[in-house]
Amino acid sequence: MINAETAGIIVMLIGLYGLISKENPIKQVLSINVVSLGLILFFIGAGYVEGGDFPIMPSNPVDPLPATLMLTTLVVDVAITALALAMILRNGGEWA
Amino acid sequence: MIAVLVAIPLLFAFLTALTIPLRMEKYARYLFLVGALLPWLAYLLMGEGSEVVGGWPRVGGIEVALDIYSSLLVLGELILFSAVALYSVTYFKKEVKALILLLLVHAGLLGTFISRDLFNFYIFMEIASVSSFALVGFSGEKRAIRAAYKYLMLSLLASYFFVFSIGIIYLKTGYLNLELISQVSPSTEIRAAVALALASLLLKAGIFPLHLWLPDAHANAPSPVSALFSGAVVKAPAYGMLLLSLYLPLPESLRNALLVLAFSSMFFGVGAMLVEGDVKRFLAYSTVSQMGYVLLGIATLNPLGAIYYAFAHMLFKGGLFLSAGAMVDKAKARELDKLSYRGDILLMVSTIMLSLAIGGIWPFVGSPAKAALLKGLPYGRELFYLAGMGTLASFTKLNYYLMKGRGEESGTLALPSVMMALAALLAGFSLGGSPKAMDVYLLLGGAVLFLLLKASGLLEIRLEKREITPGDVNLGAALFALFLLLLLHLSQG
Amino acid sequence: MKMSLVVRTTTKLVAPFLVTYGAYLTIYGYESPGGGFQAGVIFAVSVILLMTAYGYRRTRKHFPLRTVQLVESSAALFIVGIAMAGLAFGAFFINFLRPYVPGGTVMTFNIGVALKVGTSFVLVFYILSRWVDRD
Repeated sequence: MINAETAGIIVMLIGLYGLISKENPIKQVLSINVVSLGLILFFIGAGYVEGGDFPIMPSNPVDPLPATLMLTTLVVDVAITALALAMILRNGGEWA
Repeated sequence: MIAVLVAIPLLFAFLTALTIPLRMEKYARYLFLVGALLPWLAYLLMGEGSEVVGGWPRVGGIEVALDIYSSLLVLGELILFSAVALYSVTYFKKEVKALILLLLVHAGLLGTFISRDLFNFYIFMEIASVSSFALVGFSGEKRAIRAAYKYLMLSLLASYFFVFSIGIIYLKTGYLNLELISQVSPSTEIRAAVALALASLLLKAGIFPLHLWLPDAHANAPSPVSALFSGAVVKAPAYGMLLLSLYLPLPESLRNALLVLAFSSMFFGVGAMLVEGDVKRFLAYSTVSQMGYVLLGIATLNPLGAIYYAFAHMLFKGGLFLSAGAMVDKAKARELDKLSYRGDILLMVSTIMLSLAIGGIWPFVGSPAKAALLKGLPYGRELFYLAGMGTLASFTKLNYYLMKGRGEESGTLALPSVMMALAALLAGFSLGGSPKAMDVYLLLGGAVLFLLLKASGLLEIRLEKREITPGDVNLGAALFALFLLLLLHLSQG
Repeated sequence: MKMSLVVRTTTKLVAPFLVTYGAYLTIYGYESPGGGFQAGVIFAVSVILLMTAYGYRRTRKHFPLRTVQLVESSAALFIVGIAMAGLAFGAFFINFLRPYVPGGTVMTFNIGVALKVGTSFVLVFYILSRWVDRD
């Protein structure tokens, strides 16, 4: 049974392979998104406490910090994906 | 109260953005100038110190600090941004969006230089980077948009691996604050995380094998924006490497690898400068070379030398890009054969002053910076002097081509570069330095080297212009993966 | 190519409930999962759903571009203004509303962030659709 941290690292490496080997710009943007998904999976999986409660009134709380950090990373990722797709559209021709 | 330094440009950026739907665009330039110059007031009223934002205890809050290293970098960034703001008010006449993006870069850079917390540093570096992706492609021509796309892909890949290393450090030590991390004893995972973080910051700073995005991005950006990039935006990852080397353990093998990379970057930059014919790409390769000097200071554990050289480079590289921009914008061409500063005395004097500063000649700010770097260098002084001679030879080439031909008056566009040249002179006097006989030898050696190369015809080699293709991103990602594996292997030794 | 009558009627009926759900996530964001960014994305999705069903031009008549830009900049100013107002009460960014409002400045930040994120995504989709429509 693979735990979440190992799965996260494997997904990041798959995304890195996609970025090295694909030439189409839209496939490159998709590979960068796969890298970010792997990163988020690694963080959330590594911050999990078995059988913990939600972190409002601490009885045995799960750490709230990895979720907040990953929310910020997601925001950056969405903004940059929108910018990259706009650049690909603006180029025209053999790019997209 | 130190965090107010970052809030002021943000407030004025959103106020400038509010003028677009209210149709009050003619007030946008004044709001932009106030937002660019008001942080000076906040910086001069605060002394040195460190505090946690909001008054929370250090284990639960975000710490910001202005100590001796960061206050010098903040001062350099404020000087550079004032000159860039003066230039861009004339350059971007109707486009309010470029002024908003410039203020966001300013806020991001100020936040990077004062932060003492790993994740806070990452967030402000991303704010500055995302705004600069949009600014590179602002002019709308195909070449600029392709350069912006390549810069975006490679920089984003490096950012994700940087967050990965922050995650490993947080999960091993439980803290994100650098002061508290340094009190935890090191282990294999923390050394691997430091290697990953260093590889990512090397790509963002533009050191030799990972520099592929730098010449295209810095050359195709609009002129004031190129000055801001080469001056300040590549310094933020260098400051991050400095923080990592001060608070986290760097193994010996990793430091040797950084030393080799620094020297190779210096020589590669000088070599590429000598065969380049486009003035903005010439200055961009010079940035690759000078960042090698800053990395030299970090690799020999000499933080004061690295900070002095980063501050000096902000001043003279920003000034050089602003004076090159004044010439390029008048002549509407970028090749060295078509440009000249003949008709404009102010521009000629300031370019010559800045070229002497980048070579490290006495009264200018390059001289105490190079002296501080040399003080911590255990071996390799001859290579250092050789690289300095190469820099002087290439800048002799720049001034030689600019002295021929005919030019015109540039009017007020020359004023910011004069400002930067005077700042370089004043900073050189205030940081202290002494005239050395070595300076004269290097100056003469550089001129002789240039004349030899010109006579032998090596300078006539012109590489053909190549288009930017998506295959460049593949090459950059492959080199980055190679460096990740190399640094990870070296950190375990 | 028009969408069928079923699609158009259903999205017209469902879209306001998405706004209600987004408002719920914003206001209870300080003590249950949710918060500003998630609610902002749901606000944007309700407008984008209408855009896919009815077409970009017709949606733009009801949610004009200038109003969207105005709300975006004002929400951003509101966030930075609340942060700097903390200066009058002590340190920067301090939670000075805690006796009056449950959660304090966390709730005001949630509302500001939700409005800004929602209108930003709507603006991004307006601009991307304008290019695709022209092809």
